[in-house]
Amino acid sequence: MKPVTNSETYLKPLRLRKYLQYTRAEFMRGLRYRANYWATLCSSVIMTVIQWSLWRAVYINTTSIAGVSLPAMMAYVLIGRVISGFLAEPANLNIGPRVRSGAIVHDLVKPADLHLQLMFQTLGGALFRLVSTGLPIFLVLLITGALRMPDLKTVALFIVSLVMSYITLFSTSFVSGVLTFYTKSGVGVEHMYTLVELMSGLYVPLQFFPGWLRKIADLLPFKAIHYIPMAIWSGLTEPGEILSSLASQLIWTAAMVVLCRAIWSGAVKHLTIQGG
Amino acid sequence: MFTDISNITCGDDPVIIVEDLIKHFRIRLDGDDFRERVRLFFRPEYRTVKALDGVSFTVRRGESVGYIGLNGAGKSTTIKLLCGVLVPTSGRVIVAGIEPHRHRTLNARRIGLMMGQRTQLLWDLPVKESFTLLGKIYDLDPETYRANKDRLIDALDIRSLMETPARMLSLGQRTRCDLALTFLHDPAVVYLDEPTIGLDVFARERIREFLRAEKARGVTIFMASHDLDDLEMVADRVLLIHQGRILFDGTQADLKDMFGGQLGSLEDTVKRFYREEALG
Repeated sequence: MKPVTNSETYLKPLRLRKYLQYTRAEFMRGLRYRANYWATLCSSVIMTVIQWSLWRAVYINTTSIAGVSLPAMMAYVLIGRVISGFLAEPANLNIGPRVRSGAIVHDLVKPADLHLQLMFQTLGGALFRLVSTGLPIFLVLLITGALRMPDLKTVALFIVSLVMSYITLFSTSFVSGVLTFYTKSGVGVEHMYTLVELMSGLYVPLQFFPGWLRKIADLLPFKAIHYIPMAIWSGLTEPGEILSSLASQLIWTAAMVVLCRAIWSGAVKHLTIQGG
Repeated sequence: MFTDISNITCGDDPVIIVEDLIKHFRIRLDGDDFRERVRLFFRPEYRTVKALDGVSFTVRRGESVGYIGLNGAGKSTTIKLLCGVLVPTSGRVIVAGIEPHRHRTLNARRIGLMMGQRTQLLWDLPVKESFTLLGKIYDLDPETYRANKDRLIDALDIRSLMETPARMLSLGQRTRCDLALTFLHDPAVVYLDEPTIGLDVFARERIREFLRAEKARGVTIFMASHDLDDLEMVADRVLLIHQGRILFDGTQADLKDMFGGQLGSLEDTVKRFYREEALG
């Protein structure tokens, strides 16, 4: 018999093209739900209008709150609306139910890694919402002058930051999904997601938090989801501080990915020994 | 590069080797009354379930084996061990020269698994998208992919279903599509767990014919089923498992000979076998 020594030697660490198929399939799934799409677009438009009028009203008698000017504040909350679909509430990854129903067996007998598969699959939905909802809102905001493009370098760094945001967000839902399989309960991060959105700075920048809350928010990984890219875009992060801000985001992102890998290999071990 | 599996194992060698395979699961005790449940909550106790209790058999390349057993006999556990999604408690499993649980991903390229109770189709998308996805995941080169896809579509008569979202298929249609996907990447071994469950007689007949044709192409088929007519048509050999042990391993003719050959169908023979050898 010809021995096969190591199955990992021929497996390239990341076969991007293979996993992008999951992205493609999930993107197309978004296209199938037309009613859902129009509802999402409507509510996004309404939320954008609310945010715009709210902050205009707040700033009516002042030019700066907590050191944040109205234009910076507008740039912050409006770009938040543009990317809110991309960094939306994490998709229910159904890891617990997959295990309980036994469907996980099909995932485990594919020559693909389930963690990466889910990451790229969820990306398909995120990209769909970015293109279908975020982009039109972005264009309207640009044309009406409500939002202004920063210089190209800032935009490029913003996009880099956004990619890391996505990975961090996905990782929080992946970790919580795997945990629901351990705890056998359905309570995951999606049930406390509003809290995550608040601590991540989606609704108000962290500068607005009272001191003690700001300290907590700074310690949590969630600000790497919304605050960092939005602060880069809006100039709340000084140009000189962008790189150090990205570096701290990279640390969080890497830590979350390492956590995902650890928790997932633990789960696979448990599954293959105890059978779920 | 691994779609051509013929160079991995040699011609007539056994493709599956199972030696003294044991799989035990630990189940947490639940307790009968309230007080006991509380006690077990704080101090859990376990009991061991012996799903497989020393199973040995081999399957040669190109053979088709029917795996027969009552509910809970250990059929699905065996298939999961062969697929590498369960780790043996002790004993050995070798499929095409490797231990599946140590090389799960490599093993995954060479095998196909179809569970009649589950689907691997993309639920919301047209069936053709599931083909595209799996073609890429198994790294099939475009020619192999197209040839296999066409062959399977014709053999299972599913061309008209390719544009339909999977969730709108009937059970029989879904099963045919799932079968086609299972064979798409030229697997050396295919494991089928109740492939015809819930299907009407004509659908079952079509699937049997399909499996016989795939067998003729040299695919090794390992099929667990409660439908003994299926196995009678497809299996060269049958394994009877009962309470985690193999009670019979041989051809259908061998099994029928045990009772002087006077029994007609495999189903009658198996029933008689269980009454006399296992349950009696």
